[in-house]
Amino acid sequence: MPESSERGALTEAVFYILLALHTPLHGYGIMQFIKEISKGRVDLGPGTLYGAITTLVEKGWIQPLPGAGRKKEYEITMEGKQMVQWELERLQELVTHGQEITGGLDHEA
Amino acid sequence: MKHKVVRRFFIDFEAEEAWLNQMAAKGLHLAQYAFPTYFFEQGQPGEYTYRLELLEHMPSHPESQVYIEFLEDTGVECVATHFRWAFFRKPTSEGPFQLFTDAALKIQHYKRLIALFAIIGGANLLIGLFNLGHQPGPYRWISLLNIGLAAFIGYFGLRYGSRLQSLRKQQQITE
Repeated sequence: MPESSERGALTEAVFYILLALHTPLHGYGIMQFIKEISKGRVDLGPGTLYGAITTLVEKGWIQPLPGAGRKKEYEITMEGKQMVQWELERLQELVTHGQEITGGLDHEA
Repeated sequence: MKHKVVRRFFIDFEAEEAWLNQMAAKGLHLAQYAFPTYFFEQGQPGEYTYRLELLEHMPSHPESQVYIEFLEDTGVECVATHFRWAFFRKPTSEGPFQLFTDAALKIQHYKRLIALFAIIGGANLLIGLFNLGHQPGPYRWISLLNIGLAAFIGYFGLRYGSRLQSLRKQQQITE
């Protein structure tokens, strides 16, 4: 079991990287996936992406796939999937409370 | 192809980056750098966006090589390196180009700069103070030069420090 300190909110970049890697992708593929799925809102800098990948590999939430070529591909691990589940629960709670108290998105605005 | 050679010295890398992007907007794209000389090639105005980074290790270090290759695979070109500095660029047609889009890594980069400035500034201060006590009179100006340089570097180190602090404040309320 991960320590409680690892149960903090994930950054938007990390959450999207973990989602992206449900399918094996290399660095550029991850950037493209995130840009597309967020309709251009989240455009990760390559330095930021590199830092996040390095940390996530160290934590064992994603892993490089064995294979030739310098463009390394990565994929999410079981532990990474568990993190995504916990984060989904947390986000769900935020959305539920937000909607209850404010009455939901104000589309008139 | 037309070339332009400019000799210039920057301490503030963000000012240097802004200047390179102004040159690029005029169609002058940095193609080579050899301290303190910038070599520009004439091209389409605004063809590239430039970004500078003080790498964690020397550019020849295996970790830097892996990092630079990773950036290259995302369409970034490493135009030149100097000491631990790397000059990157990306075609503007491929969208906005920032190396770091999160506060944590921007802060890490400022810390790297401040550590470097502390070493250079500190060394100058020590040498200056040591020589002040040991140099004969006519050479005193050399030690004063060292101390002056240390103060100058210290000033820029503090400026990076205040940019780092404002990022930290922002980080308390947004990601």
